[in-house]
Amino acid sequence: MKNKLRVLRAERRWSQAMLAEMADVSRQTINAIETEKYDPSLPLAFKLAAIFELTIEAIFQPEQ
Amino acid sequence: MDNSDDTLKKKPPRQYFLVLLIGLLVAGLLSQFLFADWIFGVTIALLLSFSWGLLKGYLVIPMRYPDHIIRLIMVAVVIFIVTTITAVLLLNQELAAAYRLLVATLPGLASLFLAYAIARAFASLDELQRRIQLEALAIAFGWSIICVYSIGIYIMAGVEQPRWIYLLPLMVFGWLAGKLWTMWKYR
Repeated sequence: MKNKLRVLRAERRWSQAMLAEMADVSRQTINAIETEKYDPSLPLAFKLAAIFELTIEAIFQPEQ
Repeated sequence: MDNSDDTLKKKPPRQYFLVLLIGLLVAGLLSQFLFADWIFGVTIALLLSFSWGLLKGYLVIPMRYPDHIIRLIMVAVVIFIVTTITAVLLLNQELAAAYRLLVATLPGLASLFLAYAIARAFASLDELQRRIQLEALAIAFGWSIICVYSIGIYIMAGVEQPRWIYLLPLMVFGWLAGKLWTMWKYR
């Protein structure tokens, strides 16, 4: 799954640690999602979408 | 873009490794002398050094455990070490058979508490870290089976049977190697 997490985070000038704190996960998890090594669960995807005030589809897109 | 993690990293000084090395050597020699088993002392020295490193901030666990869980694990480790040493010392004395069984049960109970603390720690992790631990444990399980199977075959081939206690460090090695590999995979 592709995602725009890194771009969205950069736009807001947040560090991975800050986003991890907000999402209540580890920085390692944020990094793995950003590098697309790990696809988050649905609850975590919802949580990230709420943090960025976007819909899930605006952040995550299926691989073409 | 800031990819930094503020919680990382206070590097251990060289003295830490020197003290660790000397501690391992002394613990191994002492336990060889006291219990005729160096592996026991080395394990305890490693546990103590690891706890000390964590408390001093020289070692950072990449996993995200809450403080109360780390405290629970430390208490469980200390109880485990104390009951094991006490049991070994008492079992070397003249005791009635009933007392010997009672004393031998104590480290088992302590290890149950340790297992409970570790289960609590895993439950407190986030979803990726739980997956890493699960994959690491699966690797350790497979590695242990391969080791036991291979040792069995070697024994049939005439190699002297090793002591069963050596299976424990093999399992721990499998878990550590599995964890490092899985963490690298999701880096």
